[in-house]
Amino acid sequence: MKELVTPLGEETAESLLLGEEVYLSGKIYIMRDATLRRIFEEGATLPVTLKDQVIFFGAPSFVKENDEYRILSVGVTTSQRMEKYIPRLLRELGVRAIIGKGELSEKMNQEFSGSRSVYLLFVGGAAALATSSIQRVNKVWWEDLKGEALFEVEMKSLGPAFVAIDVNGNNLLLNNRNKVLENLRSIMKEEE
Amino acid sequence: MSLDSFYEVVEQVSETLYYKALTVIPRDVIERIRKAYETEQSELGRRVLDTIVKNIETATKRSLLVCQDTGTPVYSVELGDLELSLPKLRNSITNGVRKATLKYHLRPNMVHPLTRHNTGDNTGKNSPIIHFEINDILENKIRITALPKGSGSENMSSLKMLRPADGILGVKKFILESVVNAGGKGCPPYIVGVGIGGDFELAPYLAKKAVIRPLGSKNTDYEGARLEEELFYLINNLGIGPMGLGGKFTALGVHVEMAETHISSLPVAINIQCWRGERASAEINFDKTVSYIGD
Repeated sequence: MKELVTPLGEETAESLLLGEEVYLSGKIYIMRDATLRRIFEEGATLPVTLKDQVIFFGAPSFVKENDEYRILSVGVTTSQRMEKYIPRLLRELGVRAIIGKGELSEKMNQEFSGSRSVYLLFVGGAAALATSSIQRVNKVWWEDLKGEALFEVEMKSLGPAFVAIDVNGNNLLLNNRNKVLENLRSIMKEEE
Repeated sequence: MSLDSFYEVVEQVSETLYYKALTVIPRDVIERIRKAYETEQSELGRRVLDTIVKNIETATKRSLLVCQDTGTPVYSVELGDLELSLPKLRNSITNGVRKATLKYHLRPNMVHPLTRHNTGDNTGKNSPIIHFEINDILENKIRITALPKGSGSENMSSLKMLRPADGILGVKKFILESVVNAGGKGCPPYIVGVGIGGDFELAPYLAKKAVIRPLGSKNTDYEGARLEEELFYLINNLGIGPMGLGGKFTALGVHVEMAETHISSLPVAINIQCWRGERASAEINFDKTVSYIGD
């Protein structure tokens, strides 16, 4: 178990072992489908620099009271939908860690190893834990995208998250998936 | 007795059930998760199950949503022998969904399927989705169940029109392959709902009804109950495990619902439900008294 403070340097990412449990404190950026379309397809200028930063795939529900934002609920969404943009997030923008849920395909292994970054798995549906780790919302850009706006939040011990792809491109979920496919074959053989 | 106030009660109950399903995990589901935690052998699987339990406790303690996905508002309405107006019931439930969404600032999820325009309050054309069904046992009351189904698991559901020659083996193969395809993406451990028989539209409906059934309940048909047990055993031998990280508990339960089908057909549907198992039910008597089920 490791407590990490963002932004994360290359060395910190390199120290993380596959399957290791981590907790993150500091600035984290929340975004997902529509945010990424705006950055990479509409060519909007990114209002922040994401080098060495940690991003979290999600869409919070929030209220705005006297110019202050309060997130009512946020949790992780399925990362696979964002695969189209992950290479650019890592290689062009220098993102050091992505927090999401579910498998990423084999193609992604080299993206993480090539950029010396990691994929962290947060437990899907564990929104109460993620939400209560938020200390404050620093800034929100592109509010017209509602929950899919770009959020900068201050987190305290967000976790647990599990290292699912390490800096060498080892993919924990795909390794398990291969075992599952083997199990399926032997189950069906026995059933037949 | 004026019936207008009956519809007002329906509206109030629909509002309450929507929020309740997102904040209170059914007791049978929590019990299964705790039991899974006690018997899971995989270290990472245990860490995930422990996190899930802590998340549920945190949601209760801090009045937070268990999961951020406020779902597609689906309601099942079982009608006893009462003279009620279905359009009025539909309007009351729709108003309940709108009120819950605005009152609790629930994330509005419902959009036009092509333009993706968000209606802003989770209502719209055919939203909420309402299934009316006759249930003779209810006599002079109605039972409403809210099932605000999250999309992560719903997207992992599927239907296949098998050939009768594929038989039980074909059914098992399709179910196992569908669960493997879902992998860790739909937030396992799952409640797996299986619908067998009927036609192209009834099979998925049966699969969803199967998901609503409390864990621990059994199909009343001998063959159905046996298939539930077999599928539960087989699915939990796949090794997907909690959140796809490996382990025994890929499913908390497997429920099968069946209907007669055509001599040339064998439709099979699978509805995947994430560990949250969101559902909340209440019965409204003709005299407008309400009892919430599971409290």
